[in-house]
Amino acid sequence: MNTRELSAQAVLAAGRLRAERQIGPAEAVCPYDLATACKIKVSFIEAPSLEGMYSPEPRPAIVVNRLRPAGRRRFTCAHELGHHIFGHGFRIDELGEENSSPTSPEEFLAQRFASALLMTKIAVDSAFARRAWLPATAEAEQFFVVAQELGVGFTTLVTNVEVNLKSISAARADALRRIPLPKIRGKIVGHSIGADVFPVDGQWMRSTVDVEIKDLVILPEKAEFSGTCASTVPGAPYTLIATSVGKGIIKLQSGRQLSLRVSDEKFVGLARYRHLEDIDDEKL
Amino acid sequence: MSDLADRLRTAREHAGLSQGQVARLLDMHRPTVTEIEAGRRKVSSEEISEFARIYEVSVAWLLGADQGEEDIDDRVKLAARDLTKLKKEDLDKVLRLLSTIRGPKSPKR
Repeated sequence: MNTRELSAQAVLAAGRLRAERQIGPAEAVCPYDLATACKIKVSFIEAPSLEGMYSPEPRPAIVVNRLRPAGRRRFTCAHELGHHIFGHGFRIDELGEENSSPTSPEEFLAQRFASALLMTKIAVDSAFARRAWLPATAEAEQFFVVAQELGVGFTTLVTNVEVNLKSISAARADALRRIPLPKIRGKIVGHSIGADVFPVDGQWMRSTVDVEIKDLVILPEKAEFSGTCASTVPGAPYTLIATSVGKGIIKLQSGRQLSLRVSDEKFVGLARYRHLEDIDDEKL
Repeated sequence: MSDLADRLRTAREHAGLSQGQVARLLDMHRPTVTEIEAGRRKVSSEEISEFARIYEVSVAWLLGADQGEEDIDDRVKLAARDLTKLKKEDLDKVLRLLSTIRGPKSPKR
């Protein structure tokens, strides 16, 4: 089977899984929630030389290296979910370069499945179109906003838009990939920043905003936040800083509510507990 | 400390939960979880099932079963045979994690 046929197979499988789970083609997907819903045990461990692992026995399990960037971890989980869907058996993926070429048809299928699951053509096109942007002319900051909404890495989105969706040229993709992430984040917040940044605008259609402690969430004006896992930044009433593990509610001016879910980047354990607040022993 | 107590603590740590979180999930007092993990309190079969459920481990493993390890270890090692960057200690971490979800040995196919 050639890469075109494998690619079609992967896109079809990702579409089927979305349909089975009643996830619309334009909706952003959390691969941890999806894999857990598929009754797969999803764990984060600290293993510097590992990217991820899938084991079908004795019950399906996915392991993701927590030391990788957030977008990369999600992509790896979607990749391992691909091995599960295609019945590939035990797979161990060692640490590799981002966007490196798959080494076998099975790896190609899993890689393409992950891209198709997290970045469907409809989801990507819709995220740009809602904001009156076009991938072909979009700036790096605009790609960044879309990547954050879809929950994937900036360069992963750029590569997908170039290679799979063919909406930008190789030269444009190269130029975008050369821009350092801190520069993009700095341009969005107006100063240099070490933490990740989530520009939630009125067009943010995902029902969740998944961040880690210390990350910044930039809200549209007149949005309201309720919860204890984040607080507003002094002097910037519509910028939140995630302060502790837990969940909160963002209410947009339109009345839409988004769930802010904060995890700790150092979390090691089952993915389903990543937002579970720890509690004061005194209360027990 | 008993094997069961030791495995309950290991499973909780693998799940990324504190004793307080476990107490809340199972509607127990935190000191009860502490006593159980110290081997100073008996654990009913219903409680073992509940611990297994929230930790996503097998009851058989909590009760000390190690059957079938060689089969699965061999298959994982086979999958890892061509990986040049994967460190042995990381592979061992994966094998330890997989050991917790093992049940009784399944018949060979």
